[in-house]
Amino acid sequence: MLTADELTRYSRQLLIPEVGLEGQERLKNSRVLLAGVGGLGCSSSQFLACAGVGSITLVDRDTVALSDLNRQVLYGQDDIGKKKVEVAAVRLSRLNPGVEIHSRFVEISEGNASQLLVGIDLVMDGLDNFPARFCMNSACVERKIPYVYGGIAGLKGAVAAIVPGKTPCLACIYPRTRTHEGPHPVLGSVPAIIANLQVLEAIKILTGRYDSSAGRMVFFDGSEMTFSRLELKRNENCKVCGKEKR
Amino acid sequence: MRINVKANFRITGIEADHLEIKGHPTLGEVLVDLAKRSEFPFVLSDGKIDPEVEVLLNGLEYPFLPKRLDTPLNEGDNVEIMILALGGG
Repeated sequence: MLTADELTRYSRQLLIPEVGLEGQERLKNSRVLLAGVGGLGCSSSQFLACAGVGSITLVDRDTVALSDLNRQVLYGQDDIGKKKVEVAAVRLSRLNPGVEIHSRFVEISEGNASQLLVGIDLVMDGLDNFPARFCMNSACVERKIPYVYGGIAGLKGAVAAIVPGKTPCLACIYPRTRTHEGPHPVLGSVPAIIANLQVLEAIKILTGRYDSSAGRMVFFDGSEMTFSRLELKRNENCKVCGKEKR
Repeated sequence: MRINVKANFRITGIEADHLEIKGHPTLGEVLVDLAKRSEFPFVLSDGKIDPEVEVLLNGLEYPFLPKRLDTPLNEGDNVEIMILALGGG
């Protein structure tokens, strides 16, 4: 049940038929893990909190650096050196005190990914590297938890919602990846765009309205201002979700 | 002639991961045809391949082929078309 305050706070999105009262209550009862509170995570966490997701668990291994401040909008100059998950938790609680925020200052690995997902309904990708993404993808497939991939490079970005059992997984899409040397080029508005598309996909899944985008990737090219939509292919021999694993 | 085509996104007509083609077209000519069957225009208007897409012929990235996109295809060749992973966050 939503409280009177919540009915007012969320009144504008309650008007959206795809959300409505039932969808809002589903959001309130949802538990999302945000893997990485960098460029993507700083934006997505704010809109997840504002939308009324009941519980958000922030996982990140980093502290705030000066070079983060062109895009990681939860942090300021006086946060340099502080743990991102702790600063972010304070800011998000201020945005919406009705949301439970949990902080985990750890590096995501094969050893802890599955355990981190206990009690979680959906994972938002805010990671900056593929080894951690593949750990999270495998754990999500194992636990049948939706995983909303987001990635950026320069003025380009991509979003894909992975629903185990229904869509290709991240290892199907990317059977191999190139190792990126050095920091990724990034302008703050690009992760903000991609993160907000991720939030939209997440809310559709959490409110039970997810269908049209299943198994598709949205690819954004900021230099051309184009969005392309690709239908993704499942890899029947995928080592994570292929037929031998089903 | 049959060539094997793998992609990590849907291209109409290669559901069975192979393509029947006539004659000996070049890699570039086949890619133009495949791009028209995809929602993702991976062959750009100037004929170049979108830099976010990796194209391999028999395991070799096309820029390293002596004739690059002008390489003629042969029976049983393996063509891979993969949209590259965007890894930043």
